[in-house]
Amino acid sequence: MVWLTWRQHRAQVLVTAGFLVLVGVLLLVHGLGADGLTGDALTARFQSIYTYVSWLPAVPLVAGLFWGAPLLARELERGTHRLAWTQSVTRRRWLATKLGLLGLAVTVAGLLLGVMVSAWLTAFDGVRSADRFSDPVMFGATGVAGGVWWLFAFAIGTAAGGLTRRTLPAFAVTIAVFLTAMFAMFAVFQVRDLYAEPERMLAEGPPADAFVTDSAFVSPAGVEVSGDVPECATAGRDTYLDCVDEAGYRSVLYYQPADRYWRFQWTEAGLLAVVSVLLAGPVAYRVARRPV
Amino acid sequence: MTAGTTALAATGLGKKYRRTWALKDCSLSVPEGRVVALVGPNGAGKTTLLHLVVGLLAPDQGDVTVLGSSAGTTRTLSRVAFLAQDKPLYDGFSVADMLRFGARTNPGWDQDMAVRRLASLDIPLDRRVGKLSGGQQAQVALTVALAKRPELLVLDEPLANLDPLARHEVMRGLMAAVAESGMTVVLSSHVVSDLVDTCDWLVVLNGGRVQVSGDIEDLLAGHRLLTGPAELADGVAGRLAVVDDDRTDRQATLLVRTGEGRPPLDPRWTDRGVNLEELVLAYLRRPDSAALPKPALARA
Repeated sequence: MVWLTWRQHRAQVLVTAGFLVLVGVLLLVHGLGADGLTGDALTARFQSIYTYVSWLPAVPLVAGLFWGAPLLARELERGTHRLAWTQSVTRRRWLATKLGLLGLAVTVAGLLLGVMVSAWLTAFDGVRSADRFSDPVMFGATGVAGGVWWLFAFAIGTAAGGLTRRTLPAFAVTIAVFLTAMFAMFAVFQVRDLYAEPERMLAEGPPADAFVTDSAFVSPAGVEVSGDVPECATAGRDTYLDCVDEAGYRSVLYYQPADRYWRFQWTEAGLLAVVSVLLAGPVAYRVARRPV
Repeated sequence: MTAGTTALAATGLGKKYRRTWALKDCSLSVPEGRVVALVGPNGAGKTTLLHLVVGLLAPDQGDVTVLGSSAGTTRTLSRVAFLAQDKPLYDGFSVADMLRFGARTNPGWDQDMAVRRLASLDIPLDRRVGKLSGGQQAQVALTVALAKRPELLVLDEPLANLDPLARHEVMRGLMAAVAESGMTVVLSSHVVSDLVDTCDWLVVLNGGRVQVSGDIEDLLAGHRLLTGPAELADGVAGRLAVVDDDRTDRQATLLVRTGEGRPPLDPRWTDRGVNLEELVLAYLRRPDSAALPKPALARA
């Protein structure tokens, strides 16, 4: 079964490995080019590639489309499941081996990409957005979450393939579900803010590397105002902050301290792992137990 | 492999797709070492029955026992080989990869036999499966099934989509393997003439129900075709089990089940034996009138 899994999926393994090498080389070259740069030059160097790097959250789709979706759909579409499932290997073992090995492979690929991105980020210390914690793109592409996002996409692809039984519709469903899930989790519900209660501080600026989630003004009496400061309702845009300052208000920041990075990483990894099992579990169960 | 044991037994087997029953109340029993012809029109439920036998489908009703165990379990999987109707193979694999697939997924794999068989058919091992002709693909698929060394070989329309030469080659290779190993074979077809020379057990499936299951020689000996005056037909039909009844104004042609020996008849009747095609057609034309020949079940 191990040989069969390799033989059937070696194209994906090789292409994904090639992709990782390519991304690795690009990040390495770009990172080395930042050596010695400071201030605006460093920021400019970082911004020059950010347009491409901002696509990192969509990269796990590789695992969903090319690893997950064909896993069941291709067999069912071509009728080769009737060949594979009538050999001496039970369907349960066939599925367990494939899900296990391929799931492991995509997770490792995601982790490797995360390691490369983390290493690249160290070249841009102090640049805004070049932070693996506060920047949502970087957070999802690094650490354990990076690997589990790939596994999550793989689970979506596998489930879509098992349900649609055709590769192309499975592609479409995978893309739709993955993007919807991502959008729902981080744009609509902003689940990352819920991983832990933020710290509150009165300050001029946030501590280094902290993940600022919210800010507000506090009146001299200690009352927090949400929205505009009443005393400065008539102030112009240019004079607003000066007015606030003169009225004696101070800003308050809510933030997640930098040392919560791994706690957040494991929280996100666990959350995605559970959703992955909920998505792929019923399909896998049906294939393994109830013949199709 | 002891004679007299059951290779395949189904009791009250039923399979439903959405609301329609593809197979219903299907009961049959086939002894080991037989070459079974499963015939029936398109849509009769042949493929459904075979998929239940090899464990690709689970029954909604009743159960099916293969070589003494439930279908689809670890124990039966290794002892049953299946060749699906479209003869699936992995197109991107080389022929050698297909053999390796068989070797890696089957403990009883006979690599020597597989290599020998393909060599005798002039099929190169390094060729990609997708580049082989239809006949060669069928032979590779059959080789993968045979090299598993199964006790029961199940073939779904093995001759469909093959040219006449390839049909002949596939059938000949199959029969050589059967003669060598003594395995039980079940093959389905909707063309009875494909099966006449090779099979010794007949199962007729029609509209999701088993109409006939029995030894072909016994079945042929137990049926006769009577031709006589139409006015006497009702009398004969009242005495004998009529399978098919074809009457014109003056003449009646009755295919009857006689059991052993010839029935006593009015001299105005002529009678003769039937061949397999006539027998099958008679049953298929009359899905209601037909009954399962009891001797076949009792014997098994």
